[in-house]
Amino acid sequence: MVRWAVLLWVAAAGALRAQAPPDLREAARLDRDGKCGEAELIYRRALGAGTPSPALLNNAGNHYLACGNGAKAREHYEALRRVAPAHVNANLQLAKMAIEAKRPREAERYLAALGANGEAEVMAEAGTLYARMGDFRRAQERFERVAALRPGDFGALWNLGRAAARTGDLVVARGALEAAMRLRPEDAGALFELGAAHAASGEFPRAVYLLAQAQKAAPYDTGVALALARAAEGAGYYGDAALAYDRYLVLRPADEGSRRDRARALANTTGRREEGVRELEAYVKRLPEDAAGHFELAQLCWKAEPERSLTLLAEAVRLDPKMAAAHTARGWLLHRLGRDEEALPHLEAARMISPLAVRVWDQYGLVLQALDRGEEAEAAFRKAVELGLADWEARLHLGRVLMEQGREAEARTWLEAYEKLRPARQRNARSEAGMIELATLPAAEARQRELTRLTALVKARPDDSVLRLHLDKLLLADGRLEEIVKMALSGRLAEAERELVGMIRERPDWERLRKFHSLVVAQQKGGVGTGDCGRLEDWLRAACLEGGK
Amino acid sequence: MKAALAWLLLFAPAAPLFTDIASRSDFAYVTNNGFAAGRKYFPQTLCGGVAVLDFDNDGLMDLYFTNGAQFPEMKKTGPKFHNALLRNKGGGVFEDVTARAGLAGVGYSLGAAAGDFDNDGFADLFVAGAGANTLYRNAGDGTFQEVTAKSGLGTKPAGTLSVQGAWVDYDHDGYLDLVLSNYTVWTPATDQRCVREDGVDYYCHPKTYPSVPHRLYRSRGDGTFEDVTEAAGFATARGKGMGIAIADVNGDGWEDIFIANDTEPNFLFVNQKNGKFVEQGLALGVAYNDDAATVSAMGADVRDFDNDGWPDVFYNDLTEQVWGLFRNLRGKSFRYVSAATGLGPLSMPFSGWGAGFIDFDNDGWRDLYSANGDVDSLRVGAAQQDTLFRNVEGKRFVNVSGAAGPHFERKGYQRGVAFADLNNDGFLDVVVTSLGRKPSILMNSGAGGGHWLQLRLVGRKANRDSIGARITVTTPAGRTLHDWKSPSVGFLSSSDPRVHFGLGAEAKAASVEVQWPGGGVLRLQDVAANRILTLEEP
Repeated sequence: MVRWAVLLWVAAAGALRAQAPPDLREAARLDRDGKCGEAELIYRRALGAGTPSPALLNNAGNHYLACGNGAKAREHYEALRRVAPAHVNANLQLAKMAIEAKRPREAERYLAALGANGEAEVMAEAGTLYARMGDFRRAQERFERVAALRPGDFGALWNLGRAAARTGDLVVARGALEAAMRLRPEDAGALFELGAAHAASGEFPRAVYLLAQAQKAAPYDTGVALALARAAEGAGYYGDAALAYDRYLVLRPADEGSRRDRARALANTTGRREEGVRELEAYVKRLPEDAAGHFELAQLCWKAEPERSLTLLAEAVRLDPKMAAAHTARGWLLHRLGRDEEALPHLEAARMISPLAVRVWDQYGLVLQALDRGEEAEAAFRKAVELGLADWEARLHLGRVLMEQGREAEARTWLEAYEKLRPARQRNARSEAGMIELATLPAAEARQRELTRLTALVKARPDDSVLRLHLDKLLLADGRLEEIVKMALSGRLAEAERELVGMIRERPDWERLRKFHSLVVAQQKGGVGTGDCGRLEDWLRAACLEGGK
Repeated sequence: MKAALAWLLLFAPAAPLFTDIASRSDFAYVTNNGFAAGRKYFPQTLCGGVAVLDFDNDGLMDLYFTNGAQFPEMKKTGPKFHNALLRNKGGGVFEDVTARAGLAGVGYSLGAAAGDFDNDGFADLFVAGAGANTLYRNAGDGTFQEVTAKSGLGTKPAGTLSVQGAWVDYDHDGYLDLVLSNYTVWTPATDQRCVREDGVDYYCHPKTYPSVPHRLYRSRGDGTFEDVTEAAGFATARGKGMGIAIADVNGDGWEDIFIANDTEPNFLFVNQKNGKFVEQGLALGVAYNDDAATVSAMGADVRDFDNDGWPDVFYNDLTEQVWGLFRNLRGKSFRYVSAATGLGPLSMPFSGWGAGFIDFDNDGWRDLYSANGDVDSLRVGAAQQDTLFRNVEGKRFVNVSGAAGPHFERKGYQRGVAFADLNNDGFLDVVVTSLGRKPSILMNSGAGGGHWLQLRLVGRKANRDSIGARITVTTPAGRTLHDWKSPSVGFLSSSDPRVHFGLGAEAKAASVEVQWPGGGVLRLQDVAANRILTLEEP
């Protein structure tokens, strides 16, 4: 903001140098030097000499602004607008003053006078002011213009990315921020914004990668640290999330809410559930008035102790009657326990608080259905389907309730939609730690780490040809053929090795293939391996012959 | 406090108690899945089928157990892997007649299904296998002949791992056909090995293996079968089949087939009455649970748990999943009622395999028995006890395992379970296998239990076993009880071929009606309770 004000000031001063009479140039110099009193005399003299020119009004406005007299500045800018309604500096300065005085409508009027297709600097300033007002849509439009005029400008791209992220236009946001990152690959701000945009898109693994890079560049930035912890949790990297919360809490030890979230992440980490639950219990004891603490603890204990979970949720609702998640969870659990009459009021409350929540409507429908209120259940499921365009569960439930009503043809449509949307396999979250660290390693080290990981996996799943192929590919790229051959001959020959031969043939890298072949032959002669070795040799020989080598 | 407890013990109503009497008999059978130490093979999680049959027609139900094999050879390399036929001598004593009967088996045996496929009045046996399937024909003289190749039931795609067979006369031609649940394509050579970081083997996730179609074999009526998998509409539905349960779910008079699938949607093959089936699990609401998810469905049963005249669907599954109970809404669709009936918290701690509806106290409401134990032994809490959930008037289930006898405190890795009235006292007993152990033969004391009726059905035009018959019992007070005859139950098992009804406090049935598949109907009035009746198709 300050940068832009200075720029405009310099621009105005430049204009003065070019066009203004000597007295005004002197006044501008005095203003720059902070000699407001002396400058004031010159301006008064000039303004009293007859009808002031637009340039004089502009400079007078700037003078009063610089010297802390906002009212007089405003008066002169307004006078300028009367003769030049689209005057850039006048409108920008007036908009700024209106924003500071919390008069957004007035600010909008000034900014609107500037249009949306002005010069890059003006649009950049207007975009910034719109963003300050929270009007990110208009801010995004202005920054898009700036980015179009200055495609290689990091600031323009960064601003566009930030604004677009806040309007929810995540595709534009990611595109702009990716472009910004290409200009400054290690800029913590860009990495953070891009990571946040990916997290907002639900692309948590990528978000974790970017935010880990951001944290490497800005290790003491609390915003980055917290975003990383949350993204890691979103990705299901619970162990990593707990560590990331730890790191954040070193920077912000007083953030009790994050201490609670850390306990939750810990409880979801493989082998550390009890530890996490204990921490959450301690948290609830320490801060009994935090509804979220009761809610989180309830989430962890419902399987083993449903009644305790219900009590905790009741307390969460008592403390925060507007907590839709607690109402929903209590309704869900009561339904699961067959207590649908009791579940209903909670889901009705949740529906009122969060009328756009898909899961609330879906769960509400299930309870209504269990209470034999089929038509109301249908309406609830329809609402869920309408709100959740990709929600497969609500589609199954809607199909089922329609079947119950004998509306088979319509039901089948929804059931088919469910089948299409249902993911083939649930995401396999990684609850142990390690992903954040991997993201921050130098490329070579990360590669070695991946090799070690895959080697361990292949050891655990020796007959998994897909894993073998992944490992073989990495080894092949490193030219570590001996290890591939050793692996191929250490047990039953996996399909992986045959595919690998195919891969080498496709390139074709005859030298490598020949080396591979001779290694296999040597191993065979040395009595290493199994009968499958002959098959591998056959493939290799055939490949070499085919290639005329 | 003590006085109050004593009063409670004195005046509390007596409840049936199950007592394990296996130790009274001299037999060698121990469920042996071939795991010794180190390397684990995928089929080892599945072992220990039970079939109940009266192979010698002496009126006492005998028991047949299936067993594993040596890995990786997949051969029964010694008696420790033999299947076992135990003849019921009465008085709670069983005699091992396996060798004489010729039923020691081959390969890795899984599900056992008893049924009179040739209508000669003697119960035959089909044994599904991780390798070959086997059909044994009861010669009627205490011996069985292996007739697999001749029958055509040995045909299946190479490497198919079959889990369970179930007899059903799906085309009402009077001969039993066979439906077969298959899990995957598997051989010792393609077995995937999974090893923990500490070097300990564990059983790989089912998703490691491909799904396959289940199969249907139609009887030609001359002791041979044709594979009609494709023609009947079974080929396009690929699953990982476990338990099979059969009943007429839509009231059209034709048997439908439910197959529980592990980690895949469950199947409900609806009989089209023309030799074809259409898989309707999704449309009718039994493919997924209410979380719109698949589970590791294991054992299956389809009976009328709420006495509304429509068969309901049940499956059990693994720990932290909820066992599935689906109420039949007059044949139009099913509603998931696990939550409404209280099964959620009751079932979540348990990994169930063999399971089924059993009215253990003859109150006229079918209760739920489940044989439990985790897939592997590596997790804390993997060894589990069996559970008995009492059905409270078709509305809720409550756990009564704690009062049902010491068996329900013994932890292990139970698998197959079958229900039978082994001493003909009118109370259903339970036979359950457990990995690495002798089976438990749990005799029901019947203490405090209600009156009962047991029906032995004989088909004439219909298949002799009368599988598929619909039976309706009406009591003088107006209660109506229903069942659809199908011994296939739970997981790897088949139960008492007779149809059992608990009548509660009523000492007679006002009427008994049997509708045989194909149309024969028999109606009886004023039938005194506490009897085993043989009813022949008119």
